[in-house]
Amino acid sequence: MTSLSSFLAKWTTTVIVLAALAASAGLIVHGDIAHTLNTAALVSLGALPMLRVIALAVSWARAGDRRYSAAAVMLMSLMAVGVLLVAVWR
Amino acid sequence: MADVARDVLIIALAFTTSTVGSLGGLGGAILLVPLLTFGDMTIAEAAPLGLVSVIAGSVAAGRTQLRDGAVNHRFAVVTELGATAGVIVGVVLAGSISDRVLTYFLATLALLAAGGGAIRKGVRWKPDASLGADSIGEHHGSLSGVYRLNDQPVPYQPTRMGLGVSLMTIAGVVTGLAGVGGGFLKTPLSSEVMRLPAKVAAATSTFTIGLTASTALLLMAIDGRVVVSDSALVVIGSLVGGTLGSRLQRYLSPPVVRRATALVLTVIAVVLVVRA
Repeated sequence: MTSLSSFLAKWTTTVIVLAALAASAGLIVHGDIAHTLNTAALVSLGALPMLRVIALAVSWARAGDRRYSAAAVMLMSLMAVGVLLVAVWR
Repeated sequence: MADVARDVLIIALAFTTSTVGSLGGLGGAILLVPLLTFGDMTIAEAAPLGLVSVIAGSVAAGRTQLRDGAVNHRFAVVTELGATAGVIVGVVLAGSISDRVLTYFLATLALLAAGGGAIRKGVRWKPDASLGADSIGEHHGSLSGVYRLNDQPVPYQPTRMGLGVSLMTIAGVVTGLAGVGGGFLKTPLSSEVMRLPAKVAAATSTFTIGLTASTALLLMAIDGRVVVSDSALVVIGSLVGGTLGSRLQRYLSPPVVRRATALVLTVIAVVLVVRA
């Protein structure tokens, strides 16, 4: 396993454990605390794929793989444009 | 008591669809959303839960797939550029084609993809005994890589990238128009058109559908359509299901993965036609 894959796997595992704990705790408690825990689980999971692309872009740029680093930056930019466009279109 | 039964049912459905979805890199939303609407939910309420299921299943499967070196991130980024551009065009054009026509078109594509995967025999890429375990992973500055099959390193090189990315863009337009995830099109395109190994195609598609679903969920959150209490139930079921699906994928041979994927694609086609 490459160091980047190892780094990404480690962070993914950490987020999965934290999200699972937060979502499970959110089932047990009630009210605002449950809402906060459930939201934390959702936000941490939802942000992870995008953070993974950012980590890839940085890692590839550092390794001198500029072509694919630029492709990753273009992808994030395209997604941001898409979100803005659709949000405005509605 | 009824609330507890409802919660358990949502967790069980999310678990089952995420297991199946991460096994073949298809995502589980296209199965979970119709199943949830058989209860008291509308499609508008079930759709964000479908996205949460895809994200949680994708992240959970990602852990095992990263450790196995099965994800080709460079391939994912390049093909996702086309797919994302297509999705944006599709979302903007949404409503210009009848839902019924679109649904039948999607069902036909799913059946064609199922047929393509089921008909092909054997394994395209062969193990290379000269490669060591440290060679597993993707290559610097290239779309090629090496993946592990029965503990043996297998080198691969995607081909027909121009055609593949063009078809990914069209798949993006179709999925954007229909408002569905594109996993059931992306995996067959990657393996049958661009000739990625079935396991690498499934793992790479699992990553990209998580990325697309995150973006779509953000838009739904802006619209205030995300119910966090139900989403947390889906998170629990899909994290376990995604982990199980990716572990099963590790132990199954490529032809079995392809046949299982073909079976799920056929079920998806039937679900689409029934919903139409």
